[in-house]
Amino acid sequence: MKLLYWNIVLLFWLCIGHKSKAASLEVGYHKLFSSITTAIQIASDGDTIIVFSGIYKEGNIILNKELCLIGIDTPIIDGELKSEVMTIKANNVSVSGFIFKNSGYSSLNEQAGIRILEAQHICIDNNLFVNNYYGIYLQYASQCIVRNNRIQASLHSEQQSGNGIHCWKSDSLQIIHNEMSGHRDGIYFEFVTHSLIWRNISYNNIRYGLHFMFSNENAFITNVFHNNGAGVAVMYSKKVSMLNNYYENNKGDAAYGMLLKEMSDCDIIGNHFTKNTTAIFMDGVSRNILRKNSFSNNGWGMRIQASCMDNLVENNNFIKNSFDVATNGNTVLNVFSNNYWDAYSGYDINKDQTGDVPYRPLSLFSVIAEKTPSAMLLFQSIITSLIDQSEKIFPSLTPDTFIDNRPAMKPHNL
Amino acid sequence: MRRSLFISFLIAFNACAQKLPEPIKINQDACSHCHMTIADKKFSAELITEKQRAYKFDDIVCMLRMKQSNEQMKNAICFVSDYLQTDTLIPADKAIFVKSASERTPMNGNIIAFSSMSSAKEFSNNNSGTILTWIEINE
Repeated sequence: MKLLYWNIVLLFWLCIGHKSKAASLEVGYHKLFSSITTAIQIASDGDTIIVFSGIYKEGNIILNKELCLIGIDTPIIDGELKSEVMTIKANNVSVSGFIFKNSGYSSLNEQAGIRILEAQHICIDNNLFVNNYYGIYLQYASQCIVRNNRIQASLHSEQQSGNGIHCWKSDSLQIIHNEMSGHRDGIYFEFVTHSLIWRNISYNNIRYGLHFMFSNENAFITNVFHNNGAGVAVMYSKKVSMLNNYYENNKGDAAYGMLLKEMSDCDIIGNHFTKNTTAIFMDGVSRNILRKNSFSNNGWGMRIQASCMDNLVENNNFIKNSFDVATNGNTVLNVFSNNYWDAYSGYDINKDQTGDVPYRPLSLFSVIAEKTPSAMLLFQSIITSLIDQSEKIFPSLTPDTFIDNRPAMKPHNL
Repeated sequence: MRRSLFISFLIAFNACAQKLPEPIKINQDACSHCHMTIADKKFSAELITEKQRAYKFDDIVCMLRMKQSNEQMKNAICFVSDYLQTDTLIPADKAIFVKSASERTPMNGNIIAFSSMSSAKEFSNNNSGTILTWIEINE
């Protein structure tokens, strides 16, 4: 019992002793420091800097110590459209509760609200980024968390703008519950590995909601992408898991819910595509699994270029799309199985919930429209529906192997 | 008779005249090779085929890849954006190219174009690049 008592006392002193090492420095009106930069200069590793409300115009703030920056009543750090607002060059930094505003704009070097430069274990939490060229820029960063931030810009499409969260040559990032709008790409990944993008909302971005380039072994789960130039573009990447995301209202000539180019070995499961011009566009894509996705009210459900092979498309719902699928080739190297097609008019005598007659999802008119886009003028005219009906009875021009042998009778419960 | 023949010849020749490149609309036009929307004019390029069809690209490398993989584009005329004056498309055979790791183009080609040798040299000296000609980058 006595031993336990002493242990508790010892523990208590250890805690106190540890605490007394790290100081907390206060910045603000009537406080010890009036500028964040001087507070950083005085501080030593492990200290906390508490910044009270106000507008701080200090040019580029360089954080080169292991510090924790906390904003009380959302202080504003303004770059005055001249410089980068904050650059983090040290490990183990946490920044929360600020407004970062007006970073410089230059087409030659990319200036950001916060740049994380060759650092590890950084946490950017609960901040607001307004009108920056790039929002958060991670460069050679690893094990970082970007969470609960809102990043917005009000740039017009003629002007150039940077990306909301830009990650380059980084590893093990967690991007959770952020909101991006008005940038070029909401989130941009280039040479990023082992990272998670979860519960973000990306909307009204000029180009893409989320953009992957050369980034392998990542996952994005339960994100919403709406009203972007295009929802998500995954290019030249491998082993990306795309689960339970929502793609809505991505409309335009070059707009897609999801644009897949030269990627392989990915799982695309449980996603919802609604009201996009093209829900999924695939070019040079192989060995992917598309399962339990719902495609509804899109112009095209899936546009599969002839360069795609060994993809498995199963248990999806295709409801109220103008065209369920389209392709530009004659050979089909992908497998369709047990999808629900709302245009299927077959029967199920043996009652195994799958249709007894195979379904050919490729309409002749979609083949024609793929080759000559201007044929869309005749869409839903009597002639095209006649052609489609006759093609269904005697397939001649559409590839014979483009077929779902086990179409579902009822929509899958997704 | 002779006169009408002359006029029809004139019209025919006019039709054969080299077409000027179409201006690239950023954040609206898509790259013909990689399908990405063109978001940055300074890396963009354009190609006009013998049939006078224009193809636009977001990266010079995209144009090269498309040109190499398509037989009918063998004799196409290529244009590239001047890095310093992004609104002007210059003929590719007259441009000077710089390959530099410091410039990150959309498709990682990292090749940019200049209209004059002096500006290309200045850029490559400052950014440790190498100067290339149109013939060299086609190889």
